Order: sequence, then structure tokens, then C-alpha cells
Amino acid sequence: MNILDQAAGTFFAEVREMLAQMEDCLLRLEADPDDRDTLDALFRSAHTIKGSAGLFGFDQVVSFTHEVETVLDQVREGTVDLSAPMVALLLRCADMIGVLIGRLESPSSYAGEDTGREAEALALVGELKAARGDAGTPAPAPNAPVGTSTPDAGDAPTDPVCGAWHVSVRFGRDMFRNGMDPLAFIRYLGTLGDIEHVETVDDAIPEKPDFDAESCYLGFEIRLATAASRSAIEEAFSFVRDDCELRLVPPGSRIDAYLALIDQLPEAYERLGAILVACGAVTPGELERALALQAQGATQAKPVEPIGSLLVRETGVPRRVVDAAIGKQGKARETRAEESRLLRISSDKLDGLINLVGELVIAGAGANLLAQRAKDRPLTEATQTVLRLVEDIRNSALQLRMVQINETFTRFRRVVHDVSQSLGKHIELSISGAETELDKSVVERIGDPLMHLVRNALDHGIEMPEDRVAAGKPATAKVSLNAFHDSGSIVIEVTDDGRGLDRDRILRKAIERGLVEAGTPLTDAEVMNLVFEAGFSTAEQVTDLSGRGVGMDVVRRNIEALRGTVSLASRLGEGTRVTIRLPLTLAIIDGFLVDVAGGSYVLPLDLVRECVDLRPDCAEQIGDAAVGCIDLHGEVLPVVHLAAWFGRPRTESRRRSVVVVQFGEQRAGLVVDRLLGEFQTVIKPLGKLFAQLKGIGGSTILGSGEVALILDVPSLVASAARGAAAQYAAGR
Amino acid sequence: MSAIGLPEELTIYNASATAALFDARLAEGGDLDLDAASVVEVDAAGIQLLLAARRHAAALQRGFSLCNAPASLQSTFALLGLSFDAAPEASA
Amino acid sequence: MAKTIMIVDDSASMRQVVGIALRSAGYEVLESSDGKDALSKLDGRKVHLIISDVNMPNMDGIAFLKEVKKHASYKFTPVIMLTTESQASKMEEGRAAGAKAWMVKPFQPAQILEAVSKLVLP
Repeated sequence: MNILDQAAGTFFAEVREMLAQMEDCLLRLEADPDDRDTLDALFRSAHTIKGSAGLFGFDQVVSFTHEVETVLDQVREGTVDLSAPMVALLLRCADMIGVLIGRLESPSSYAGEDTGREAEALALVGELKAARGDAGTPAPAPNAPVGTSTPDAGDAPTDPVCGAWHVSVRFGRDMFRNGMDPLAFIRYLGTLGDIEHVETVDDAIPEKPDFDAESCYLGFEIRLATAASRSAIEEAFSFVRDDCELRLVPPGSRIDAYLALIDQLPEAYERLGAILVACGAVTPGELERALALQAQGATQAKPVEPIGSLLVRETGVPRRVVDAAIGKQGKARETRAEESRLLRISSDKLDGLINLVGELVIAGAGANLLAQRAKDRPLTEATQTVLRLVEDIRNSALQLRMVQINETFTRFRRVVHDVSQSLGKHIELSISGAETELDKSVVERIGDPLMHLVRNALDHGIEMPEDRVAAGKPATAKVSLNAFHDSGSIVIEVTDDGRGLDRDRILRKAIERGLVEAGTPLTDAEVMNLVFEAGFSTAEQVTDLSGRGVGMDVVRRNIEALRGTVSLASRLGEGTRVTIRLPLTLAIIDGFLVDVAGGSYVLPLDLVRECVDLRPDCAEQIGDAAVGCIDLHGEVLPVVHLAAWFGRPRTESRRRSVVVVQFGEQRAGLVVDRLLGEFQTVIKPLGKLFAQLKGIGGSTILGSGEVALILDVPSLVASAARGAAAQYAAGR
Repeated sequence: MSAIGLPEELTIYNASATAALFDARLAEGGDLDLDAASVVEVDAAGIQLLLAARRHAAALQRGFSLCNAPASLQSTFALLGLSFDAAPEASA
Repeated sequence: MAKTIMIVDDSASMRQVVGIALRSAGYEVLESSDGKDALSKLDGRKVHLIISDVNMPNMDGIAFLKEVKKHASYKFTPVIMLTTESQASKMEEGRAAGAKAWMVKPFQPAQILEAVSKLVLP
């Protein structure tokens, strides 16, 4: 069905959201089973999945989810406990729903898996039923919600050829007040066939003082030629069963049936007789004869069956104990209600937009440059205005790419839960800074490295509960994920209070593996970071869970591919902290343009701390070296002489400048020839060929069309620091 | 007295108010001459109102008429087997 | 003049599918994911039918129904509530609050169209 094709995308996205929500709720409820709001949210997720799947006719998903929903309903009612095994079972069920949905989404990738999954699903259903004592409501038959029925199932065949149905209806007083319109029902009947005649019975309209315009006093006698079954006709009035009296006389019925009908109706015989004649239900002759017979009391009237389900009666639903959810709104959780203020957009469209903005930035710079050269003041000012506006657009567009790291972090709850169970360890995950935002593409690519780090912590960092207690630590270990912004970067920390790393052992292994010369002086931090070198692993056993042969070196490479850095700090016996630093954006940055020996280079402006002149005595200090130290405000500052670093021929010394930059804890100075000012920089990535260049992180196009290289400040700062340390160690 | 113009929405939402209009006219001793030119939407409550108005007018021996019914209103009358063209008949 | 239907459901795919179905049948459709938002969108607009899910965060369908019925403009507006069949108690509350029409999820688009056309034809 075309409608469903259009909406399928929404459906699959929505189910994934609901499944994530279910998982989140289940994990919360495991810790706090009395959390009413979370329980409601959990139920709603299952309910939403079932409802939406039903729209699309995904019956298998519907019936499976129904079982889950039934159990959840019983949990809400209090008849089933949300114990740890139940939570585990429900988590497995959520996974199964995910699998079922996956099969629907891309059937080809699951081909051949069918029978296995079927059995699994059935087994889960069995477990659910057992757990709830099988007191749930039966699964909904597809296509059969209350109020609608499949036409014509087992009805006695009517003869559509001779005659029509006679529909007699008397509406209740409250029809209008309940929002029901008899006119709509009659029009609806018209869609079932041909309305041959309608008589409006307004006899019940009272005299003036008693007449309430908002009460309904109407009845109708209708002759309907239709092939529809009795139940289909009755279904037309399904919403007002309680508010009306409905009587049907099938086609081809004899006069007796109509007499019986007249018997049951409130109006006078003659009146009804006239109505029936007017409807064509009976002929005047037939009616006269019948009335005569009846007067003689000799009629064997066959009673018209009152349609049992449609007569006015008490609704038979017993009042159940109702949790006063209505009165008790409480502090409802502001979850997906946010949706009405959010918009889903395709990430391709967003990237396209940002590309255009990037081109706009460059074009704007070009226009501005031309204006300046033409020395046209008004034009220059105009282009400046344009540039300012473009900068605003740029910021807004980049903001669109920012997403919270929350989704990435919350995935780990499940991981920690499952892994700690299977390892027999007690581990608590705490998350902070989940609302910290970073560029969407970074979020996408940081998941895997983070996963490795967390798994490392879980597998190797955290000790078994007995060992912890023996060491005087609490049996439950803590792993924490923390994210925050810091001077133009986003910092993500993975911390654990496990056994920590043994510095000496690391050094020994590194020397053994030839990664480091024995006797080289290294700081603690440098020793720790050896862990990231390829070929290094201190894991005693490669466990099933993380033994895929992927090590910390891959983690570092992945992070560096994002222009970030990773470092490690640890105390033996106390724990480990891995710190990841990532740039906030990969696309467009505020740049600072400098000239080095005639070439243009760009630095990220938010890493720049200050600019100072290079004093002659400092220049001497550095001499011909690429790396050196100078004295800045009484402190030693490592510097990189960029011209020398890049191997440019040394030009005669005029007044040079030092741009002081900071990355993380570390400061350094970059010696440049000229400061050219701020510059909106659209980052064009370097091709693979150039990706290994140390010190360069990309390129950009200036307004003049010239290419400028973007400096990789972190690596320059690191080089400066190393150089300075080496010099210090060499006693310079 | 001029004809009473029926509202655009001759539905449950206006039923009581319109009934009051009719009552007032009858109380003043007038006939119920209704002009349906403006009627855009009608529901059963609106129809009932017209039926009631006709009855009540007859009960007080006042005149009742309905004119300028738009096509949509006329087809609704037809659907329900109603006619407001002539004087009230015995059988509705 | 087309009849207007408001659909209130926190499920985006429900709103989308039902919305498309109703629009192709000739109705105008207003959507909301939330009782509170729905109330502000209604704001006195002429609406011929309201379809509302019972299970929604923040303001559930019954509470929304009660609020809507307080407004003079919607006192007599028909309401179809969407629910699961395990919630008979909700149906009682809903009836008491003025919702006489119910549809049980899951249903297919054709079924909601049928239900709607019993109450208001486009």
C-alpha cells in the first residue's frame, strides 16, 4: 500500500527509538523497580511498537510484542514482579523485536535464518507466558479490533435480490452531547449500499417547555438495499450501541416480522404502519390484512430478533482496580514529547548545506579581498557585512550538526550490565556530561574506540569482587564516562577504580618488545602512553569478549583519524583514566592566518592564547634549530620555528612573532613571520597522500584563491614539548 | 416581521441559541419564517431543530416556512425524507 | 468545505500513516504528539473529530479528553480513543469523560478510515 511505503522509514526509525527506550527503562527499573514513571514509559514503548506494527500489517511483530505488552501491563497492575530474571527476559525480548524488525527492513540479509529465529521467538513467548502465569489476554487476531468485524463470516446467506434490509433505529437522548451525529451514521449506511427510503421519526420531540435542543429525540426507518451482511450493517452503529435501539429486518422477510417490529417500537400502530408502507417495506394491502389478523389475535408473529448486542444494556465490563493514574500526574518525564519541537532531517541534506556554507565563506572572502584591493570603501564595508552574516549562518549550520553524546553513552549501560553479569563482576556505570554536544560525524566514529576502552576496563581493569574486597575496596566497582568542553575541544574520560596499570611492568614489556631503549628517561605519562604502541599488550589472557586482536594502538589511530588525541593515567591498585580529546568540529573553524617564509598557514583560533614579538635575545636562543625554548613572562616556553620546521629557506630576520598556543595542559610557541589576522577557515581535508605529514591537519582556500595549509597544533605542541624536554635533559 | 436568518452552522453547537431565537419570535407573537441562505453545515441536531420549530409553531397556530435552502441542505432534507416546502403534514 | 480531524498520538509513524490515509480520503488533518501541544493547536479552531491515543507521556489521552471537553468549541466534538484491549478500565473512564468511540490497536489504516467515516464524512 502506497501510504505504508511512504511511512515505512518513519516506522523503522521509531521502533529503534522505542527499543532503545525499552532497554533504558528496563535497566533503570532493575535498579529501582518502584519507578512508576519509567514503568509507564516502558509500557508505552511496547504499546507504540505494537500499534505501529499493526498499521503496517507486521503481524508477527504485533503478536510477539503483544505478549510483552501483556506482561508489562501485569507488572503495572502489580500481579507480576519485575525481578532480575524478568528484566533479563524482557531485554532478550526487546532484542528479538529488534531482530524481527531487522528482517522486515532488509529481508535479504536475514535470508536463511528464519527457522532458528522462529523457534527462538516461540521460546521467549513461552517464557513470558510461564512468568506471568499465562493470565494474559489473548493475542489480537489481526484485522479485528473492537468495533469492526470482518464482513460476512458465518451469517446466514441473505437474498440480496428480493428486497432490502429494513433498518429501524431510535437514538438515545445523549447522542448529540456525546458528539454523535445520526446524520453521519445514515450517510455511512449509504456507503454500504443504496438507501431506497428514509422516514424521519420525530414523534418523540416534546412540547415547548420540555424541548431541549441538545437532546436527541429522533428515530429513523430506513430501507437499505445492500449485499452487506447483518453484522456489517450493525457495525455501522458500533460506536453508539449504548445510545440507540437498533432493529434490523432482513430482506424478503414476511409481514410477521414487520408486525413484530411494530410491536416493539414506541409509536402507534397506524403511524408505524404508514411509515412502513412509505418505506416500501410492506404494501398497504399486506398491512391491512395483517393488522386485521392481529386484531383477531390469531397471528403467529415471528419475533424480530432484537440484535442482542445492540440493545440498550449495561456494558458488561467489570470495574477493575484502577491505578489512579489520572489524578496523579506527578512529575511526568519529559521524554519524546519533545518530538513536536524537533525535526528529523537527512544527514546528507545537512552535509550538503554545510558544504554550501563552506563555499559561501570562501566566496565571501574572495569578494571581500577584491573589494579591498579595489580600495572601494562602500563595497568593502558591504562585503564585510556579508562576511559577518555568513559567519552567523556558518555557526548556525554547524550547530545543526551538533548532537549530544548522550546516545553514545547510554548504549554502554547495556554493555556494562551484560558483561558484568557474564564475568561475574559487580560493576556500576556512572555517566556525566551526557548533554555535551559534539559534531555528528565525530559522535558516529567515537563509538567504537570508546567501546574498546570500556571493554578493557571491564575485562582487565576491574577485579573480581572477592579480590576487591580482599584489597579493601568496595565489592562493586565503578566505571564512569564523563564528557565536557574544554578550550575548543571536547574531552571524554573513561575512568575505572580497578587494579590500575603497573608502570614498571609496562616499561619492562616495552623494552622487551623493542619499543623503547633501556635507560631512556621517560615521564610517568610517557610510560603509560606506551600502552598505545602497536605490538603492546599486557593482558594475561585474551578473553572471549575482547579477544578480537584489536588493541589500544587501533584505538589511538581511530581517535587520531578524528584529529583527536588519547592519553592514559593510572595508579597501581587504584584505577585508570583514559582521556580522549577531540576537536569540536571538523568542517569550518575560526582560523588565524599567519605567514611563514612567504607561505600562508592557518591555526585554529580557539587554540591561540596570545601573540608576542620575538625578542632578539630569544631569537638567538633558538638559533638555527627548529625547536627550542624561550622565556615568556618568566616561564620557559617550548617553541617551534615553523620556517625551519617546514624546511623553508631562512629569510633575513626581521621582526618575527610568536603565536602562543595551548592544547590541553601543554603550551607552546610557534614562530612565524607575519600575523595576518582572523580568517574563517573552511577545512578541506588533505588527500591520503598527505595524511602522514606531521604538523599539517588540512588545507583551505584563501579569498585570493591561494591554498593555505592548516597547522596541526596538537602535534606541533607535542613536538615542541618533546624537543624542549630533550634539551632540558641534555642540560642545555 | 422579517425572516429569521439561520446561522452558517446549523449544528449542535448553535442548537440551543437558535432555539432561543425561535422561542423569542414565537413569544412575540410572530411566525417562524426561516431563511436558510447562509447555512453551510448542518447536522441531525440542526435538522431536529427545524422539525421541532415546525411542530411548536403549529402547536401555537403560527406560520412556519423555510426558504432559500442551499443545494447541500436540500439534499440532506431529501436524504432524510423531509420536506419543508408545504404546511406540516400529519406524518412528518 | 473539508472536514478537519485532529490526531494526537506520540507515535510518529501512527500520525504519519493515519494522516496520509485521512488526507487521501479528503479530510484535513491536524497532528500533535502530545496532549498539551494539541490543546494549544486546537485553540478554538473548528475541528470535526479528534482521534487520540490513550497512552501518551506528560498528559495521557483521558486527561487530554477531559481538558478538551471543557472548551465550549469542543464540547460536542466526537472523539475516537485509541487503546489496547487490555485496558478496559480506561474505556470506562473515557466513556465517562465523553469518548464514546474506541479503536483498539493494532489496527490497519482502512479500519480507522472506516471508523472515522461513521462519525464524519469528508
